[in-house]
Amino acid sequence: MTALQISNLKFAWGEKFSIIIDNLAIATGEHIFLQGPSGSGKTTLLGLIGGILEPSQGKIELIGRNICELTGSERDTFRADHIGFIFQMFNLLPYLSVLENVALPCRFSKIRAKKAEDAGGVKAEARRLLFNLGLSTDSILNRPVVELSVGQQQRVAAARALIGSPEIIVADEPTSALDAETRSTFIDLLFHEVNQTKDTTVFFVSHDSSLATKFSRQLSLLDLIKQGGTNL
Amino acid sequence: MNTLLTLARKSLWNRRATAILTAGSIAVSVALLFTVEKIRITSKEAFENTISDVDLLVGARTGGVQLLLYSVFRMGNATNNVSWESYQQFKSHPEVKWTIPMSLGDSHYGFRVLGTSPEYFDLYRFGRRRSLQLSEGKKFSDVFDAVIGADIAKELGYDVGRKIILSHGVEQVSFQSHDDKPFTIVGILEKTGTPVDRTVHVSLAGIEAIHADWQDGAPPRPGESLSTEAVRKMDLTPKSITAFLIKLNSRIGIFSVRKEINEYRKEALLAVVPGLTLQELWDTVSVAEKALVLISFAVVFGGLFGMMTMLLAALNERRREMAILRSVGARSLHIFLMLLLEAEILVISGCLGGLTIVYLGIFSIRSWVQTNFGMYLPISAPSSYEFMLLGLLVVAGGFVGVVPAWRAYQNSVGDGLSIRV
Ligand SMILES: Nc1ncnc2c1ncn2[C@@H]1O[C@H](COP(=O)(O)OP(=O)(O)OP(=O)(O)O)[C@@H](O)[C@H]1O
Ligand SMILES: [Mg+2]
Repeated sequence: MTALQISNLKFAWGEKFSIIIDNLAIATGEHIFLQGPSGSGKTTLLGLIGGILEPSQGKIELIGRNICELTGSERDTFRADHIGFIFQMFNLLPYLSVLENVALPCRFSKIRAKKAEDAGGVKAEARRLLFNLGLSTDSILNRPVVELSVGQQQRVAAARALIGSPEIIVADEPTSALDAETRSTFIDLLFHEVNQTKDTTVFFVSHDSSLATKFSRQLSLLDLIKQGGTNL
Repeated sequence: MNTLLTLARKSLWNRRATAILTAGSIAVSVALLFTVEKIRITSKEAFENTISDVDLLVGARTGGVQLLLYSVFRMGNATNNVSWESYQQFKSHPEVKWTIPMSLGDSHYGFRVLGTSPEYFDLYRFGRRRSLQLSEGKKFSDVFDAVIGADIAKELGYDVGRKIILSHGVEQVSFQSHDDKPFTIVGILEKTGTPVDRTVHVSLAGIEAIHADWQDGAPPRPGESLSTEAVRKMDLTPKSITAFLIKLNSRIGIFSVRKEINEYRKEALLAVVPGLTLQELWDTVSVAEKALVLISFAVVFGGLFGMMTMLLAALNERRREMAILRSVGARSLHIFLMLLLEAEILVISGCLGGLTIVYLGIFSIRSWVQTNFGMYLPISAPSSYEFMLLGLLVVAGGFVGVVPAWRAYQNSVGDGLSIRV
């Protein structure tokens, strides 16, 4: 099974930057480490995979669906149902509790709500994920999220991305704000959780190449794409 | 939808300082609107209830509004009188149940004097068919007895038993006073909130008595004035009155009797239906009030625009919030709806706050208004008109909310999931 199949993809940010990918296939359950210098287009590629950016040409197939054919709102729904996101920092809504933040994707996606329900209920599932990610004490669960440390916040964000078991996890430098040790623990905890099911595909962007060994496959943006606006 | 409502509520609460201020300014504007509306309705009712349960008001031929003004509101003067014979003629008309004569023209420190029959106290109705009540003393029975309205008693500090002098004419300072024939206050009426409160009531005979020795509207020459004792012995049947009220046996006869009076050959008379003429008069005096209503509507729109500004101004700082929402699965439409819900939460809590202010206000001032203005302020559920106003506000809040909602929608489409601070 392929989780992602990109063919003949072209995308450009005006004249300055363009990205061309002839062919890229990622199998289900792979953990992809995306690396490349700043400005090489990592975030842009994640945007294309997440259906946030639309390519000017080509095909992006995610778990068997060509997301380029979907309308804006269909793509929104597809994203809500099948992709969990983690960003660099400040991922959480400050006016919701930790548990509410984690449960949020189930409010917008019936499919993820159903999966969480089947796994024992949204609340229980949220608690289980937080526990597995090392956030167990009730004092943390009931604290306003703004009082959590950055590392704790990122683990809450990871739990939120994982709830309802989406097929794809997209993480854009989730560890950049963490120190080396926390960084490593974070990824171990994340993988421990992801590996519970063998069919979650992870796209993970980081500048820290020391993390690369933890992943099943490394992709360098520079190898992957032919870039430069001039030859377009 | 439920989720969005919770999110909108919590997000607003997260910004509660500005949110409460915004809802508060809407509440104040709503309270103003409702107060003006309540005052308008209550004062209109009070105005229309100055006289009730009467079928016709008759006076010498003049304008209908003018007749109403001088006979009921005691403003201005009659130019002509109705002869006693004509009055008697209609008093004994087969369709007439009762009549109340009214003789005006004298005053006491600017308060009008009304000469009438003792039945006046039993038959006169104001408000919702409320009748006059004596707070002290009794009705007049003697020629020189007087019953005063509540305002006079309060403003001049009069009590039962006090003697008062009536003046000829209605000017505050009259040079022609009937100081040789003082009246005794025998009763004080309860507050009614109508011109009755500012009226001195005496018998028709009393009016006749103080003018008995006058010649052609001029005071008696020295040596020709009569003593009270001498006057008492005279025939004090009046020669004319200013106006009279008619109650018919059946309301069906109103228009035929009115026609009969208006076409009366012996004297030029005018009969009007008080309710209709009151309405006509109200239309001319209610201009100021309409302006007030307009202003309060403007204030409400000010409040709504304040809300729009507040929501718009917050959008930029909320881009991260929107991006997070989008990343957890909210569609652009959800963002739009959430902003709309925020606007509605503000408007609805503003409306509820405004209503609370109004009701607390009415509750705390009603007894004061009752004693000072004789206006009864009922604490009743909002009228259907007021519900319509509330509904209108909620709709208007939605319309105003569309502007920031649309902006947020566009932002969220443009920003996607990218979180830039
Ligand atoms: N919204 C945008 N509008 C125009 N150009 C953009 C936009 N976002 C990114 N770019 C351009 O696209 C190129 C790739 O940016 P991208 O953010 O994908 O890089 P990146 O690899 O994620 O870099 P970093 O490691 O710094 O996050 C850059 O040259 C950038 O200027
Ligand atoms: Mg980036």
